[in-house]
Amino acid sequence: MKITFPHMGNVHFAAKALFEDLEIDYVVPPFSSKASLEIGSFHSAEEMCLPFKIMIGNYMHAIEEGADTVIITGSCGPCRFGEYCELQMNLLNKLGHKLDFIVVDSPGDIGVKELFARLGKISSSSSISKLNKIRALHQATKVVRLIDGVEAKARYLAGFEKNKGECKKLLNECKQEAQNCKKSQSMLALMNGYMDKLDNVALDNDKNPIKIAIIGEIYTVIEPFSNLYIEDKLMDYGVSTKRTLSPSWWLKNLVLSPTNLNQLDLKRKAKEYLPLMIGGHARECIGEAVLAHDEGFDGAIQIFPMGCMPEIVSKAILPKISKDKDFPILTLVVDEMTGEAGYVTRIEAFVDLLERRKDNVLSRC
Amino acid sequence: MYYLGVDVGSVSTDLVILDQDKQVKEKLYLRTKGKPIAAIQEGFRVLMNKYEKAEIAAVGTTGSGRQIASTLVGADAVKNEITAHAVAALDADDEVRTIIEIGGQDSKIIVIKNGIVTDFAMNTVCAAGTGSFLDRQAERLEIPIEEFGDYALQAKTTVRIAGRCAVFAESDMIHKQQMGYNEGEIIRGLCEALVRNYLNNVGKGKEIQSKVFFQGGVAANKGMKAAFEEALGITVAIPEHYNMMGAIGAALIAKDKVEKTGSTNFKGFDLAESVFSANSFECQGCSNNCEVVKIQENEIVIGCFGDRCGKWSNKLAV
Amino acid sequence: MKVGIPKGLLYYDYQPFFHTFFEELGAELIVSSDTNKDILDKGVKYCVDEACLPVKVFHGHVAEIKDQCDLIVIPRIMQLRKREFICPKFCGLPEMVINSIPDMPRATMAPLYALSKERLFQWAKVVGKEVTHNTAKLSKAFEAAVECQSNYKKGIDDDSYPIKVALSGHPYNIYDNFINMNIVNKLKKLGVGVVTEEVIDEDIKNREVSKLYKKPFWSFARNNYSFTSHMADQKLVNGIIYISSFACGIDSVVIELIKHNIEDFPLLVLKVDEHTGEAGLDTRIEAFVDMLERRRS
Repeated sequence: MKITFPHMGNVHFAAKALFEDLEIDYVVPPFSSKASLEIGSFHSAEEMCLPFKIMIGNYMHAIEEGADTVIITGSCGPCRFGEYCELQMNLLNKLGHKLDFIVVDSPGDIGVKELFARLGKISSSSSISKLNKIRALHQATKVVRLIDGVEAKARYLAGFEKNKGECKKLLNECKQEAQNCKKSQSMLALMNGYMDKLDNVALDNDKNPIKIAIIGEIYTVIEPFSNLYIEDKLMDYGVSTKRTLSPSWWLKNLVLSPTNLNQLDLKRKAKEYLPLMIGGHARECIGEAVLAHDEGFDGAIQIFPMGCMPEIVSKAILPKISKDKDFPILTLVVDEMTGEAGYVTRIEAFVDLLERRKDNVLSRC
Repeated sequence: MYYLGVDVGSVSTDLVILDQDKQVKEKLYLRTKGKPIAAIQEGFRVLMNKYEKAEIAAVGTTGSGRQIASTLVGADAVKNEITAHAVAALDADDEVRTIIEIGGQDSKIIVIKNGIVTDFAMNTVCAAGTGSFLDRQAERLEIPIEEFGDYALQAKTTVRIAGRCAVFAESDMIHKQQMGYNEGEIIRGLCEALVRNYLNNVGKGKEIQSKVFFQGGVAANKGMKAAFEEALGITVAIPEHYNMMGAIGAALIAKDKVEKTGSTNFKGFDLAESVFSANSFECQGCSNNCEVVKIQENEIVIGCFGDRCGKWSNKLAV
Repeated sequence: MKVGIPKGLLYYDYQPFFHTFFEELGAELIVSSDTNKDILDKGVKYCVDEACLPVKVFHGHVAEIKDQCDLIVIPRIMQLRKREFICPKFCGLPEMVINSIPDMPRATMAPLYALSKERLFQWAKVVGKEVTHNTAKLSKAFEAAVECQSNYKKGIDDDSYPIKVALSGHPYNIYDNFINMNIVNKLKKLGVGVVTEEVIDEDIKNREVSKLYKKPFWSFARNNYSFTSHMADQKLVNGIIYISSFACGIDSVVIELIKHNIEDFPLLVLKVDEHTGEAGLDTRIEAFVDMLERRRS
């Protein structure tokens, strides 16, 4: 068995750590790129959403490198993501690839027994002791929490750094080097090292940078290729960004959701505008927008793939929040047709808008 | 002293020279034809006979080709076209509250309060309703684009045309022609459809308040102006240099910048005679495999862009 | 009190319930007109651009009647069956409408779970209070509404034509004759009878969806998948026509599942949005019917 998985932001670090600790053969697909999107768009139905298409590209690339098993998480609605597995299985089958899918669905829908049976497929191909398997899982969650932490810190400090580009450089180096680590332990050590380096970045505390919250559909906010590397661009402009949704956030949310104690803060913030869970992360998106305003951010950027059902609802609500709170929000819709020029123009103009609101000057120097 | 503004768009490349009093001394409208470097050189060849390098106090670039233009000319300011348009409009009339801008392949709305841009939007999916589309329809109807607007104004009645997608709008127009409507009615219907489409898409949810500026190449079309006025119920003003606003804005922003920094990066008009080449290659430095564009002037590399890490460009794009 | 009922989305399925409930409560009903050009234009004007046609049309219905009523019924239909959903846009429908249309009267915001009579009554209690505080009257109105709804028979099963097609899709696309440009009549004129999803039993549906790797979690998916699968499998019709709103997220999945399942069985997918031209639609239907006739002979 040679396992692979679709890219979703920093997930690949955790997966690498996990499979190496478990001593299971695996393939990290090449990073999502134009090539993955092209392959995916070619094979998928036109109206399918962007994440689906990029994922197909990831699988095809992984197959070239010998992958024979795909692991993905499921969900049971009401957003399309939950149906991905079946469509992707059919599609790859039709293309003549015999791929085994391991779909980690909620036990409420498939039963606890089935869930364990599915997970057992992975577990049984690892020869290490049961205790060590549990440990490996624990380590992997640590990895994803840590790398998400490094990333969040770098993105936020980018607005305050004295030497322009330092945070971005550290973040890129950290990610680059982590790909060459073996097993979780060395990865954690490396990331901790970078965390310290970020703590020692020279900051200009007189700076009052533009602060933007990145909100919207989870895949398109965490998978950098899908949003045309918006956070990197904002770092270049000297903007501090914050993004609540991340793989580690998702994990925590998943673990806590049966208790209904998940995301109390966001739920409370969203209440006035969208009191119910309607699928995807629309309620979180609304909550984050309100929260960002309360925390003194200058604006928010909402990103979602064309046709995303839950985010269409939030898009209808955001202008009201923007008006009520005098808080600028820019919506960017991405799909395979998104042209980089127009996209960048919008981001730059939005940053300009925020700056001018802030200090009422003509141009930034 | 003069200020130079360069707006490299998908359809046209505009160059403008402002004098000390921010008045337009010179304006050049050139077709980009997919070759922004050649278009800028062509413009410089005209300018180099009239102006000295030393006379240019500042230069700014804007438009979708602003980066490449900046590398070429040595810009003091590189600004996106939304900000550039707003700056130019505010300079022409500080009471402007709404800017409707329709260019070759883009359409935008910019909302201004107290002299600051507070909201904006751009067309997302389709180029129906922009200049290129109107050009194409004029060509198909065999009517010079300059007279397009007059035809619309002469029509007594109108016909409803589906206008969201360029392809469907065209087939709908053909269908209406087959039904026997005359050209004037169809053109008027088309203008109305494009305006409706603009207001429903780009202008959705935006407060359109007077004074409204209509700028960009399409503002030359009287039919479009009339259709906007009818749909909005307010008068729409067209600034004198409606098709040069991006370049004017870029020049103004550059002027401002140089007043703070004290000197210009302008490389001079000589580039008109240089040999430029633009090559792209896939960087193998990491798994991102960025496509990097390399610009060479007389075989010397003057700039790179397209890389995410900054290894090639090392110059920030702000 | 004047209660507005927009004639959009699942109105086509649940009109007896809503009409009876509010009439029995003593409200004066203001029902919007059948969908027309003006309603569509209003919907397109107010609704977020990315939304699908039926949701835009719903906005148009609300806009048409909003100034005449004190309360607008915007059914926030969350679930009709256990572990199944409708569509995220239904769940957020009241928010979409009140944040997009200016000067709205009060709107019903309560979530509607039709999982059982008890759960449905919870909706009725909250919404009913807007009209009356008389609980006895409210219970009576609710009972009458449920009764009326359960006697409501809908669905088409036309056997008197030589050729028959299964007409699949969301109910508002099938029953809103403005959206679908009167497709049932068009088909009749071409000598084609129509059968719809309501005619098959629940156990057939259960059997059909159990063939899938994953049980569909949308009620629309369950209905349309099982219906088309059964019809094609048993050869009860000559072909399938699926009417789908452009950019419908659910249909982008369901249609793929159906295509995969029925393989070569004739299927025509008609996409509708505010720009659909009738001429193009006619051409497609005629060509499809021609094809069915040729296959038969």
